[in-house]
Amino acid sequence: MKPNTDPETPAASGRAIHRGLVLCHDCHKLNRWDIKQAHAIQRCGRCGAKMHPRKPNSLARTWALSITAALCLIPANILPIMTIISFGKGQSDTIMSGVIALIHYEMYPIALVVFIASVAVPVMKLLGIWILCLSVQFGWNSSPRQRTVLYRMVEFIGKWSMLDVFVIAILVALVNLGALATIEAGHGATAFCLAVVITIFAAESFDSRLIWDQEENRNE
Amino acid sequence: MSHSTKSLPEHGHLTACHECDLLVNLPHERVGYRLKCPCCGYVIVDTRYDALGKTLAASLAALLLFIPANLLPIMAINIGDMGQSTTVLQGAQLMWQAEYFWVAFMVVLTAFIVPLLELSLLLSITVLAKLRRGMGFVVSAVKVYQKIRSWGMLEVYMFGILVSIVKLVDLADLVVNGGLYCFGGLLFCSTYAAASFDPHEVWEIVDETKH
Ligand SMILES: [Zn+2]
Ligand SMILES: [Zn+2]
Repeated sequence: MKPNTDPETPAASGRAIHRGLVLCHDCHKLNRWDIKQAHAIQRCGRCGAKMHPRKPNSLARTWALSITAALCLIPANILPIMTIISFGKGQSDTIMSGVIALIHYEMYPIALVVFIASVAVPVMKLLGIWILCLSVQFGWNSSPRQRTVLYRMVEFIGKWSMLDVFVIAILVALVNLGALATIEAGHGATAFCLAVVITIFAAESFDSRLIWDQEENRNE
Repeated sequence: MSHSTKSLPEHGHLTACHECDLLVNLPHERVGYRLKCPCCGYVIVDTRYDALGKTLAASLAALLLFIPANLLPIMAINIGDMGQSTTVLQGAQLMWQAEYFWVAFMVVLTAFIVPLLELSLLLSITVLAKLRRGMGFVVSAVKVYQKIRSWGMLEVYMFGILVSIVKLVDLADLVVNGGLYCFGGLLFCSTYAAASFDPHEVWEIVDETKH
């Protein structure tokens, strides 16, 4: 680790945790951390929030939440997410059959968008979280910088998987014309929605500083 | 790596990277400075000229646009003689009636409640910070704002509208209404408000007024 390579940046001096300092998670104030009272509650001097040098039980929480989200993805992909009823005939769509129908109608760009948002993003996000967890847990030797990039991607792409849920809500409201055509939501949409929410919680419970802690332990 | 605390600079000029915990000295100049973490590349400080004023103006404009964007129909569809138009809340209401409570709840939360709350918080934070008053409220408002940020999904909803338009354009007679333009404006202003908001500046004002 070379913290001082950038001449523009003022000299940095190691990691906060080694100097008995903790960054408040809420207001980003640097506070002193009394190591003798590590198990007592210590509060931020500026905003009064409870401080933790690292997010508590970060790995265990992230594992639990991401596995739950993965389980939710199963019904989300098997059950129909919406049913189009026109002229008395009903046609149910799962996420994948919706994408295939779009390809069938030659709407390739939109099929790609829906596929990325509803299939690729949720799966990639969970895989990304698992790679991060595994790498911290087993001390994998890959570059921490690369893993930080992975962490930021996981944080950024999360909300885009809500796209299909919004599309269903808009279509249901718009195409609700009784006899001619109706669009109904399916229970797959509920499961999908849950999976997205739990994945966001999982990504938030991961503490990116763990990636760098581990790097430091190796260098020492 | 030394573990001594002897050479520790003044607290006010020292901060730690949010993502990798590296200690970094803060610069003395306060405006037009962008400090990237030398270790992981996270943007630690980004101070711009009159960031507070920019956030104030953008969040006010966004709040004003919020009203027509949610009251006017976004688009309408005509099949035969029958027409139907929609807003964000109507979509959610129909989902609720069909007993898809989770989906309805998430739509209202991410495309209505959280964006509205975010903008109101930004406006009150910047106004109070400019007036140097109500710091107790500002402290909790910034905290709440940072907690709810990842749940605001206006931009995803906007994309959802576009996807719906493309899906329906061949099947039915689609009319784009004024609500859509207001929604686009709302998205632009709220993105700008969030991007220009600099919590560091607000925390410094909080510290100043305390002493
Ligand atoms: Zn604090
Ligand atoms: Zn960093």
